[in-house]
Amino acid sequence: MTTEPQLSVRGITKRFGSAFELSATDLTVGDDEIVALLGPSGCGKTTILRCIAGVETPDSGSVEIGGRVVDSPEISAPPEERNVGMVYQNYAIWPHKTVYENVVFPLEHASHGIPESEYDERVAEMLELMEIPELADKPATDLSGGQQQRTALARALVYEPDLLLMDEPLSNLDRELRKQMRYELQRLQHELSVSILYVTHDQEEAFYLADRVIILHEGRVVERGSPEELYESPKSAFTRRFIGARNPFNGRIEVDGSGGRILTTDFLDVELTSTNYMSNGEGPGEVSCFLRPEDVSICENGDSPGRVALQGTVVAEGILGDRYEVTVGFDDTDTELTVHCGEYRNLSRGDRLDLRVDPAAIQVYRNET
Amino acid sequence: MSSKRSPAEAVAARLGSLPDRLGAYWAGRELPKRLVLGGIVLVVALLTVVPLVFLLWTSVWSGYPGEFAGELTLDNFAAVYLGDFFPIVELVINSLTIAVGMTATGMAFGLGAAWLFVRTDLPTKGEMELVLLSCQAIPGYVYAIMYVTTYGSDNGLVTAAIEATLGIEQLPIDIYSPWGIAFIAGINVVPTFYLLTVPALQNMDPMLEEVSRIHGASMLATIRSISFPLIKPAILSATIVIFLYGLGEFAVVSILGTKNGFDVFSTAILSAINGRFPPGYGEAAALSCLLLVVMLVFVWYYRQVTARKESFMTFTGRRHRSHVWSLGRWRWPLALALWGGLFFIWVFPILVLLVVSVHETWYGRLDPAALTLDNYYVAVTDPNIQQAFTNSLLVAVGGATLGTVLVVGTAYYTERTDGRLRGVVDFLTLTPLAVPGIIIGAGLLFTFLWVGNVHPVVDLYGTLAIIIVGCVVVFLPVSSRIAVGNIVQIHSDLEEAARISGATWLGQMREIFLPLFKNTTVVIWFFLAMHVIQLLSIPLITYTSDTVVIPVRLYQLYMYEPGIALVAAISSIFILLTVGSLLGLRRVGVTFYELGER
Repeated sequence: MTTEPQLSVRGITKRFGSAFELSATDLTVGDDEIVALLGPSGCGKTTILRCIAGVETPDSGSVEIGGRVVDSPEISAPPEERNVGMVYQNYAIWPHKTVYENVVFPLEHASHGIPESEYDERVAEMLELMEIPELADKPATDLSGGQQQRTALARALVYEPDLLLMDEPLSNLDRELRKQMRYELQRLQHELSVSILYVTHDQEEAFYLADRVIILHEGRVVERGSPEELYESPKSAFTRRFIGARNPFNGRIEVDGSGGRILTTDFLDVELTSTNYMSNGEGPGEVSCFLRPEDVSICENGDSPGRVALQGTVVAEGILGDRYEVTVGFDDTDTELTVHCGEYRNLSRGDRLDLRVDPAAIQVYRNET
Repeated sequence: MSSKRSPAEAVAARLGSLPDRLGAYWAGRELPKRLVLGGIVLVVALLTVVPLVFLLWTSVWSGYPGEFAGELTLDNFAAVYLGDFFPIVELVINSLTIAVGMTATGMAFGLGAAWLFVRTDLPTKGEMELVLLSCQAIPGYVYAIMYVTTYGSDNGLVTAAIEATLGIEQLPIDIYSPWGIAFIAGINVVPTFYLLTVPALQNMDPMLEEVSRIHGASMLATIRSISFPLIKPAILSATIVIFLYGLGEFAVVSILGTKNGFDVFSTAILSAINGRFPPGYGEAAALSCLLLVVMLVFVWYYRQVTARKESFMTFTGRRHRSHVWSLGRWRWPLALALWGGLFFIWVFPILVLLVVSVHETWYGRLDPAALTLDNYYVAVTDPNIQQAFTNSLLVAVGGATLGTVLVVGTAYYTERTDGRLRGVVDFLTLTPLAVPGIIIGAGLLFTFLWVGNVHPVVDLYGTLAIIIVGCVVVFLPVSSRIAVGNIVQIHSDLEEAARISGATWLGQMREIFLPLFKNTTVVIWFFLAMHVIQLLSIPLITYTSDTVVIPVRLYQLYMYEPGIALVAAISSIFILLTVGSLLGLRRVGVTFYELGER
């Protein structure tokens, strides 16, 4: 699509005393797109969101929403004129109002094209969509976490804002509810085709929901891309660490007599060309390697062509969620590999174990010097 | 339609769109917010700073306040500190005696009660707390009068009875002695000391003590090395606050001190202004300066202590279900002893006051033959007293309303905006803590003597307005702490969500903030009304014959007109009204002692 982005943020900065700084940040959210801002707590993602909503004023830079400049060095529109919806981490449901009163509030105060006679119908529709029509007249203090979440969503969407801002909306819910709401958010987004900027520290949430993910660290963007790109081949060291759950280990590239490059580590040696070499340095040097737990398999019998065979000792094992996890150590090294398998295995600490690794699954990054 | 518009139409169209354009401009600049909050902040700054400025000016001015034909001079300071206008050394010693005695009494009873009520299984502690806190509704000068009728050396019911029984002339205990006065003044601040230390005891994580016990420390060792160090900052700051009150103490000293000519700073300042001819305005102002400097030092120290206290106190934000020490078999004997103390110190004097009020004249003993309701009849029908009741009500309602607006506005400004003056405003709301009521009153009096001379419109001298303003300033620190303490409990997300949902600032205030803050606002209003109506110092220094309020009328009757029985009757009505409305409010769910002084 070539339409104007619903949100475009250019070079906003914000400084709080000397302790924290948000350095020049750009981002866009297109029509009907979900963009996730992903980062650890304190990375500045909520500050960006608050600057966009207008409850915080950036020190410099500009913000455009729906093609209209709302923040620039010259002007700063108050929040009520920005035509956005927002869902807070703690939902910010007004405790002295009923669910209906909460949801109808934006219709009564914001500017939009909906005539007053349709407010009731509109609220009812919204509550229907959120599957809480029966709660309309309940006082907000009677709601469970999930119900507050749905009320907050209904309130944010009821007047069809240009942009929906969500600040860690699922992090106060318990595990099961979080899964369910994650799914419902995706469904809603498809039904309403609204543009969403979604702030979270949860990698699963971001990758599940977003069309594009922006990774933030210490007030600056470290990487951006589609969930697939970031998952398959993260470029920055921070992203690799933050996305986590991939076995890291160190190695070196050595050049043998015939000019072939070999990746050597303390538990395996393979030809570099067979691995997923992510840098373009020639010559020998130190590298960091990553191997996802699901790319290591436990070998029962026989050999699998093209795979590297390893033998190690079980260090720890146990059932983790819906899978079985084994951590394997290798003789005379500090390196340990975590392995995931779908079915339960009756292993115990100290057992010897045969593993197979597809070299192509090993991501190799040259260390920056 | 004609494509050409007449100039008049064009002008009309432009004017027609003016409200819209103004509205947009306003919204962009947050003008309503700036106007409302800016106005409130300005008023608070004026109220807290201006009286002190005029006080200082008066102290270095050769003429009277309002007399522009004068010059700068240090004569007033020379007369006060080098000459013998005041017995300055005696004043210092007396004020210190009162402050020390008052602090010691307040700490002994207040801290003791706090620990026993919060941290032990003392039986009936809830009822004891209720008695202790309810007595806070009785103003200090009324307590002083009650003590005169109960334990006074000439007409006290108890003293007279004991003397008659033992057949002695004079008991060795004298409530008119300096330490007697200090003790009675101290009794009045016990609830304050209690309220200042209870939160620290309640907030302390009981696990910290449990861990100490588990790791082998005895109960005493635990209290000494864990509990006490943790609440020490709270005790220290309570001690400083009470000591500051003590240095400025006025009401109790003025009632009990007259008999032996015992003066402290506050009473000397008042009598220099009200009791001398010609009035010693400049000297009173110069004397105030010394007290202000001393106070300033203590406030500075207080801020050091409380700044540290916060870092101490943040170790846990939750309010814990306190772990309770068992008193074992001492529970009931201790409870009985405490009830005895409570009764004789707080309750019995009230009963005696009631007894006195139904006697024609009071001679220190019950006289069934002389019982009469005449005093109540006079109290209700006397036009002067009726006028005083009306004035008191007007001052209470006016003060509470003005104070509530100012306090809620400044709290919103300091907690909810990023205004540049937040720190200054917060500091200004606390400054009256360091200025005794008498000095605030003197400052206001001087201010309006000056300002009133400029133009009659601003001449508030001799109106109830000056009393209202003074009372608001006196209670600004405590009431603003209530507001700030409660504003932080409302998540600011709620207000932001309203703005993002399209509400303007005023709309947001109307729909979200004020409804959510309604309870606190009501509490602050009643807190102020209750305290303003009882305040003696401000009205006493600023009243004229038209603006006598009940505390002033009581003071006049006690000091200048014989008839303690009539004083007792008016006091009884007064107490009944305040305690009655307190209990009434409690029934409908408004309690403010718990919130009170943080």
